Amino acid sequence: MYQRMIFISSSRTHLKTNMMLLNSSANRLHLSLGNVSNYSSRKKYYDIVIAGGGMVGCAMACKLSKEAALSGMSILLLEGGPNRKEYDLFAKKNTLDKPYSNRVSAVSKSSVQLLQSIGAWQIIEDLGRNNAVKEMRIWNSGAGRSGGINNVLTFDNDNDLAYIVENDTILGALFKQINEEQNITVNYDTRVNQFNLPDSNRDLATVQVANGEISFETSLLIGSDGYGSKVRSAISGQQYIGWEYSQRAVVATLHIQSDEDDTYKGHVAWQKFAQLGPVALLPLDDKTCSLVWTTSYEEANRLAELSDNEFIDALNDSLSEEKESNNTSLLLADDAAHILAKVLNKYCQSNDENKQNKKIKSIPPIVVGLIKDSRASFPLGFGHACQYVGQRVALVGDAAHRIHPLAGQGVNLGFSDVTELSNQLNQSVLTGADIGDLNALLNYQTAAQRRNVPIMLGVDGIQKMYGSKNNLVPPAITTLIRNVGLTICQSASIVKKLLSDKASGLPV
Amino acid sequence: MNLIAKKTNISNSFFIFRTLTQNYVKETVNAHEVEHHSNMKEYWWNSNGPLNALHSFNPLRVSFIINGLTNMKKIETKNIGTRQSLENIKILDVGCGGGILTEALARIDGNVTGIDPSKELITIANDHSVILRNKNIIYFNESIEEHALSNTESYDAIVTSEVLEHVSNKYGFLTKCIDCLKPGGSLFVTTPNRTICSWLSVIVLGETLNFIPKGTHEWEKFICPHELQSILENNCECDTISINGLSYDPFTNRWSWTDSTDLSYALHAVKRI
Repeated sequence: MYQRMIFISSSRTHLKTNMMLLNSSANRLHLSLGNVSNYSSRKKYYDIVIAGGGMVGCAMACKLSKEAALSGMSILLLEGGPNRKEYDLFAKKNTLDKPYSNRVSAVSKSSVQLLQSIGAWQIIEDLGRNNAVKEMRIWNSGAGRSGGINNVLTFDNDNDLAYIVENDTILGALFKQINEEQNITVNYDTRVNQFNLPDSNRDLATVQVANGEISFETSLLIGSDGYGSKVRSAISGQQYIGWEYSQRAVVATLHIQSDEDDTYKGHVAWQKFAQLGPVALLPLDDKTCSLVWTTSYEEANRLAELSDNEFIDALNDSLSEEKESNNTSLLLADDAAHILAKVLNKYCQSNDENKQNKKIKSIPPIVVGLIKDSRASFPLGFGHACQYVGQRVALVGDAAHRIHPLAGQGVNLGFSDVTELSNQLNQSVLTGADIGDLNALLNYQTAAQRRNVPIMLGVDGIQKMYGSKNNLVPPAITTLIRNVGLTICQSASIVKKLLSDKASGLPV
Repeated sequence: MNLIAKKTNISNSFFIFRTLTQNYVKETVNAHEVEHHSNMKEYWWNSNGPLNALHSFNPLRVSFIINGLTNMKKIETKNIGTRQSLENIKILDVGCGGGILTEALARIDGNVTGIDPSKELITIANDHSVILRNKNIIYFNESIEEHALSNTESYDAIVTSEVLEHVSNKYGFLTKCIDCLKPGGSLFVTTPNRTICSWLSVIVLGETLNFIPKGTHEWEKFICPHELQSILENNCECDTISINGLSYDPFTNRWSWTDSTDLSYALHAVKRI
């Protein structure tokens, strides 16, 4: 009844000794059954294919190739853009006064840890293009009378809060590391036609590339192709929650004049919640700042039309206090917040009064110049994929989640995904799991979403409360709520600590 | 005191009754069990399907096997903590089914043989193993008695995971397994315990709420750790190294180690030299 079934070959001992033969004959058996889709020689196989060579995709490739348990796995990085000269870091090193790029990131401590582990941070530090943020000053627009002085929320820390680094410096450092890794292949100028994800874990994922007839097969496809991700839409049953903020971020690189006596000169990040959206100034060095000015579409278009000098004036107007308003309710709201701040300051503030006042003098900074052609703008939105993973696929970075830049968390969430996913893959290969195993990937999804979703909702909440003009609620009430919110955060050290810990990305 | 004595009496007589009835079964394989499991061939490898508990069990049982073999100094030092940890180790997976565990062991370079009495499941296993490239994996459609005839003392480790609860003649099954094991080799068993707790969770909750396909388990056939231990130590010349409790959360589909063996357990025994 239980006769020995020999499926593959008649000679059992022969098979046991020659496993190459086993596989090839198994293939043959397979082909004879009519399943020709797999393992044909026309497709090139890589263990891992990463779609999208942005900061997160590159960090993913580096991190995976550095994992000891994954050593020897072949990684293919597909990048849509060309092999750009801008990533050549020597250009930056040789000319110290090379203008800063207008796209920068606030890199949190947990992201620094990731970049350190793949050796990219050392390169950035050697170039000296990382500037520590030692203090953050956040304030709100008011009616003008109280001068906003008592409604400043400051974060400062003995350690650095974050580092401001240009995106292309980070990319350059990552590409330098990637080029040193033997097992990473980078394909530039690659347009992907189609991602085919398998229904069963017996099959591999395939990537069809537009130019030429090449297609790739992989055990695990990682989508890091930004917020319009093609990989994301290939996941079956995917639901994506997203909306546009009907705001644009205007970026530029600025020269500023700040208080000479400031202890943290050159290391202060400013953010003002203006009526139309937050304006942030991120320090690049003593005199240079990167601007992220969130504003309405109409205003962004108007600003784009202005000459450089007019733009600087508009920005200074927006940063400094508004003229005293005639609106009685607004003034009342401002006064109420002012009184509350005084009371809270008296009873809760642990810092000594003098130190507090000294800092406040330097608000707001005065913009004196603008680097030519550094102005640009881009739309803002919110988005979250319900599924970060599928059979043989995982999403990282903006492909899985897109947030408002007001807290500077976008790229940091992406880097946390990288850490999380590589830890999970490391663990799963050690226990013999397939690298694209859905159960293992689901663990990554759980861990990543548990961390990302609260931060995303928090940032979205701040955006809703501070970052936009709301026509339903009278401006007096919003002003009051905003100011009270800031005052409470400033006074209650627990809330403040919670916020800065969350922003650092390290486990609390 | 009386109550306890009475309880032990009942369970003793139950055990004697079971041993008496079961010893009449010579075959270690039940035809209806094989048929039932063969019917699962459609969704065996569907990691979201009815057998997802078996899929999510892999990380724990594989690390249990790796740790057991490391403790027995079977794993070369250079391979500890790498993805080649089972290199040059010959393993027999008895009752491999579709090969969920077998493939995992082969992927970390184990030299793995899987046997199962179900022809359909071996076909599934062979078909699926194409995904592994250049790994040492081979399947045979046979029972342990048949396999033991030509493979005496030839394996470093024998794994029988979630199988023993489907076997009537446990004594015969285990002795044949141990026959295939080299002296000093390890036997790894995972199986549910026979307790009220396991009856409630496996039969009542698991099979009525469809976490497990209906009719998969017969609670009467489950074996307690002490019974298994006594067969292995008294009849099979084995020493028990460890017995660890397992628990499963069907809602998150996660297994974890616990102190209590009430629900399910993993046992590691070593054949005396």
